[in-house]
Amino acid sequence: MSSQEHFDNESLQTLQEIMEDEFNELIELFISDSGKRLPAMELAWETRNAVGLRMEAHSFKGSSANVCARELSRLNMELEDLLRDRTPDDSEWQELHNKINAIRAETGVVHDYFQQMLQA
Amino acid sequence: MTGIRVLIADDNLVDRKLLSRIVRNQGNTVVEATCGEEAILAFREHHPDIVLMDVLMPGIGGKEAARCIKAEAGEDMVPIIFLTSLTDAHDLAACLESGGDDFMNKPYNPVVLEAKIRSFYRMRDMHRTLQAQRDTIAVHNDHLIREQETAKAVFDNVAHHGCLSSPNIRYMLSPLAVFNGDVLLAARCPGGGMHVLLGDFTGHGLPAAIGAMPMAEIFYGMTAKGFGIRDIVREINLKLHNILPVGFFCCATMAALDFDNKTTSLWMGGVPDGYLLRSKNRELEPLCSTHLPLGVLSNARFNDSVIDLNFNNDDRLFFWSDGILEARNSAGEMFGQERLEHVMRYSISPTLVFEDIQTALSEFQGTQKNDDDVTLLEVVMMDRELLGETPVGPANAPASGPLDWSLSYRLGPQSLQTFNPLPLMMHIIMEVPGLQSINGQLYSVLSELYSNALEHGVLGLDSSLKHSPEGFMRYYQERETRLQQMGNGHVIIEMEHSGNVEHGRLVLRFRDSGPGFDWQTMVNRSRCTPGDAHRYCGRGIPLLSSICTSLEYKEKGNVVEAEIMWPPTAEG
Repeated sequence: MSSQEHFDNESLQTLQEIMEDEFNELIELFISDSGKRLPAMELAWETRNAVGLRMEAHSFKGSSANVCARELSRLNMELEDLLRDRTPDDSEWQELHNKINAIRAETGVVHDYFQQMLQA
Repeated sequence: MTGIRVLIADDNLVDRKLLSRIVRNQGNTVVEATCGEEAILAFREHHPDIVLMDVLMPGIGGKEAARCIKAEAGEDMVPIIFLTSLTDAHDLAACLESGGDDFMNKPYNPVVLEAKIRSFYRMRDMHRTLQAQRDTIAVHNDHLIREQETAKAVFDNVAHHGCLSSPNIRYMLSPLAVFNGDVLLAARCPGGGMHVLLGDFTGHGLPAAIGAMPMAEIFYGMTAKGFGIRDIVREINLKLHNILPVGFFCCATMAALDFDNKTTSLWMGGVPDGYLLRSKNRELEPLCSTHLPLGVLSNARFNDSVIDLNFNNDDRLFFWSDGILEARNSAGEMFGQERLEHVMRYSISPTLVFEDIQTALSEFQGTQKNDDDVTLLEVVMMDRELLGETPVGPANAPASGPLDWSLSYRLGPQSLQTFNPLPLMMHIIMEVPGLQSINGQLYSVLSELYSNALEHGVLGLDSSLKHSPEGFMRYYQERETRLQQMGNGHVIIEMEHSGNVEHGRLVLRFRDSGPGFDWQTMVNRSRCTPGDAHRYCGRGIPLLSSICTSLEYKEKGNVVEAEIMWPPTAEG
């Protein structure tokens, strides 16, 4: 796996420099925070709560961007855009779930990468 | 740059932590809040310099919180930078409309963030400096206004309106500022006459008004001491010439009214034409300024000559400052002399002219504001009795003074031509405390005896000339001519006082160089026609008899002696 597809490496380097001793803490915070995002998204999807789902995607988009997880942020933005100013019909809800799955997969990749970093 | 206090409001822990670190790394202090409500509370508690606010937060959200904070900050400038991962232009615009000052996109760029924080801090600093300066200016302004009010109170006490409330005067003063460059003064003379002065100093406001103080001092002081119009304008001119900077002066009209002889003397310098509106046939006589304004010429070059006019009952004088002529309407035209003259000619009645001028002026001006102080004055001749009591002169003489004294004062031709000895004589008499309460009557006695001695005694003028108004003017011209041609002659004034602090006796003796006259006949004639107010001739003698305990002509009629006892017995 090339981290280049998933991360803005240059920014991540800068982030590390900025946070210094607090970098690990920040990454751990991100891991635990994003771990809670997916169950929340699932719940919103099951209850067909379009607004709730969009809020989650928006927030996840922001925080993943801040830790330079470029791909994860992009996927969340797509989900957010699909929910912008409209209520999806049944077939669209299915499609949304595919997007959630993609986010889950990408979250897994990001987590793994961060875990490696933390152990290094 | 340290110590910028930054409030960070973001519900996302990761974002908040990151941002907080960036901001702290830059040497600033951070206060954190996790939602809009908390942000408002934190703002109240910590008074941050700058707020970084996430837009989408649970609860009231970033935009509403921004509105509350801006409302609470009031006049203080608290920059709010929105943190956003919004990309839609409308959403971004909505952030700024809710009171945000800028926005910052996620992911954060520390360099841009630092630049923004510094830039907004500078702005806030500038804003605070500006407010502080504004407050300082406000304090100074308050101070200035208080000073002006105090100065104004002193000014009003000095340049007071005197007897402007007399029934024969109407006036309108509309100042452009707290201080007025136009001055109106009026005072009764000890002998019963009246002095009125309308002055218009160069400029407006305090610098213009300040010259009015010495002017008023001189006007009121000299009038109370019995000085005449010529002495007073000369003294004012001298004073203003000495104290005013070059280019500053006072355009002025001064009028002296004689209610007994129904005349007025005018001195006009640098003023617009005034008018005399006769009650008889409504004749309108323009009165033109013949002198330069007060304060322009040195004493040696100053001309104190006056115009003497008959001024019968209900005749009216109208004067104004140039502010009235130059008052503009909305089209920028000036009110002008023609409009004024028109009003004076075509008012229904002379008594309405004053109001009609005011009405015409205000209709002409509309809502237009004055460029200059506007002053309008009307002086009417009426019988002295209608004006009320002549006010007693200033009671500022010493409480104890000389009681046993005498003097003899001889005035030769040169003195008689150019000098009025009455104020000086009054000054000496007023040193006797017991005589201060009757200064008006004493002035009348001195004035009458002196003019008799000079005009009839030395100059040999025939008092019967004074029977008619026309004759009166001729009498005055003749007096002037003979005075200037006089080669010899004199008047000796002798005064003696004796007494104690309770009562006393003043003897006044006037001895002239003339041939004397048949005073016996004259006294008898005037006794036969008491209270004949329309006769000028010999009028002084019955008047004097009532004030003086005795009045006697002596020798060949060129010596007259008056005795005055004080305190005065009953009504005298």
